[in-house]
Amino acid sequence: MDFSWSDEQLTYRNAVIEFARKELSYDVMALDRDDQFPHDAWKKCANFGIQGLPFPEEYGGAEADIMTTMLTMEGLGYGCRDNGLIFAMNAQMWSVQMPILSFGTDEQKQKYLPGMCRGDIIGAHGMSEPDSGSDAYSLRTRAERVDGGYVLNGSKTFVTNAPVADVALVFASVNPARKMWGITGFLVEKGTPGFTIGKPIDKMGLRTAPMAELIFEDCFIPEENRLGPEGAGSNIFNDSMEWERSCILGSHVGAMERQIEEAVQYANEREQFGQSIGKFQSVANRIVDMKVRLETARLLLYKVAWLKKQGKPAVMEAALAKLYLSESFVQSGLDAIRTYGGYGYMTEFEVERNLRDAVGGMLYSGTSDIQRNIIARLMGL
Amino acid sequence: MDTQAILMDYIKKELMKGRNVDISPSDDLLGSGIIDSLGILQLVSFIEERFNFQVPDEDVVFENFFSVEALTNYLKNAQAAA
Ligand SMILES: Cc1cc2nc3c(=O)[nH]c(=O)nc-3n(C[C@H](O)[C@H](O)[C@H](O)COP(=O)(O)OP(=O)(O)OC[C@H]3O[C@@H](n4cnc5c(N)ncnc54)[C@H](O)[C@@H]3O)c2cc1C
Repeated sequence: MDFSWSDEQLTYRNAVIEFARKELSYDVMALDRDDQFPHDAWKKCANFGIQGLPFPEEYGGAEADIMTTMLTMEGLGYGCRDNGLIFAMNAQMWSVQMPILSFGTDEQKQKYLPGMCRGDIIGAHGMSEPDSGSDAYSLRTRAERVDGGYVLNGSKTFVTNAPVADVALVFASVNPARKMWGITGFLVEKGTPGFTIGKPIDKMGLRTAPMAELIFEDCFIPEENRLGPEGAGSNIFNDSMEWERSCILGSHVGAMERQIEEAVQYANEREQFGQSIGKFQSVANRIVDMKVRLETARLLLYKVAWLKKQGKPAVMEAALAKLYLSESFVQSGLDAIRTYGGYGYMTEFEVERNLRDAVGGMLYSGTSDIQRNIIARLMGL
Repeated sequence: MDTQAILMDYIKKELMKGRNVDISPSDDLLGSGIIDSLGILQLVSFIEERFNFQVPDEDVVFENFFSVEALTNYLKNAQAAA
């Protein structure tokens, strides 16, 4: 067993932290308040190489392996205070770019991947519907086969990036009787007749990552825009969930590490009853618990990335990591607020935003309950 | 054990744990509720480990995973081609 990183991997991590501190130090508070997407920052990240990190060089990527990618995401989470931007990038990278790379035709890869790596094309992923969330495969959006392609009817909700997206990977059934085997992926471009993007959806956290509904009314999609074979949609969806779980969580680890460092600093500086609050065991123990959670979460996550790098299945490990990390990030956000007292509750201190952002993590990519279901089943329960 | 017997054995012992339903190689695995979507995921992982064969993503479709019979045929052809 070897827990060390290579010099090259550490260089990536340190470079991204420096980049984030220099280039992504904009006023997140104002963007969060106004629900604004940081277009410039998106582009800067692409220029730095984030969106292209694990993708092949021929499509403008850097061909980093999953371990390096996850560590870089950790660095980004540590250096960049805008969890929404990181979430939006992850949503595109793992649930749009990666499926195109794994399932796309050469034409589809050429058409979308270089632009996404450059930050010129933004992608969204539409699976959830008003009546199907956790039970994703019960979706109702239909894709009816017609001459030369398909006609889509239905709607998608909670779609991250939708208001700014140029293309959406949308899942619809070509054969509802076949349940999950009918689900098929389609690449739908903005401006396609019959395809509309709803009004932005306001939300509790991750407010710089815009969200909206997608509506399809007799929307014709040519055959060449189908991603993968008919019926492969559920596997496309699963595949992207595993990448997404590993890498989004990487940035949570980085964010928690920053949160802890700042909490230690504050606890040492803030004085009450004639001494720094960090000298009170109750305060110190709480920060110790944050640290224990961070380090356990990190180990769970690294194991997932390691298994994936060996090409081994990691269904159980990915579920454990998703469950533990997302819940830990919420708890860490609460503990940070407790450490700062009233100041932690005030927006201006930029402590409470982490908690609001963290709550989404217990819901997207499968809620904590669903992760527990997966783990229970794999344990033989 | 041949491929079909190995698959039947895994499905009965691991995926249908505790459920006393008779299955035959031609039964619709998902449609008749023998396994669910997580079961399909487990089946893919099992195949990859047991047969040391990486199932290409685009092959996880109805035609290949409909029944144990279909899966056995798929594996025979895919392994021969590999
Ligand atoms: C910030 C954010 C971003 C998102 N981005 C996207 C996106 O880009 N694309 C997209 O398609 N979707 C996206 N989603 C939607 C997300 O995937 C769903 O919210 C999620 O799958 C849960 O579905 P639901 O909201 O319909 O809740 P429901 O499925 O209705 O769940 C409600 C409650 O019931 C519980 N529950 C449901 N079924 C079970 C069960 N079998 N066992 C135990 N408990 C159960 C849930 O855990 C939850 O507590 C996003 C969501 C959030 C919060």
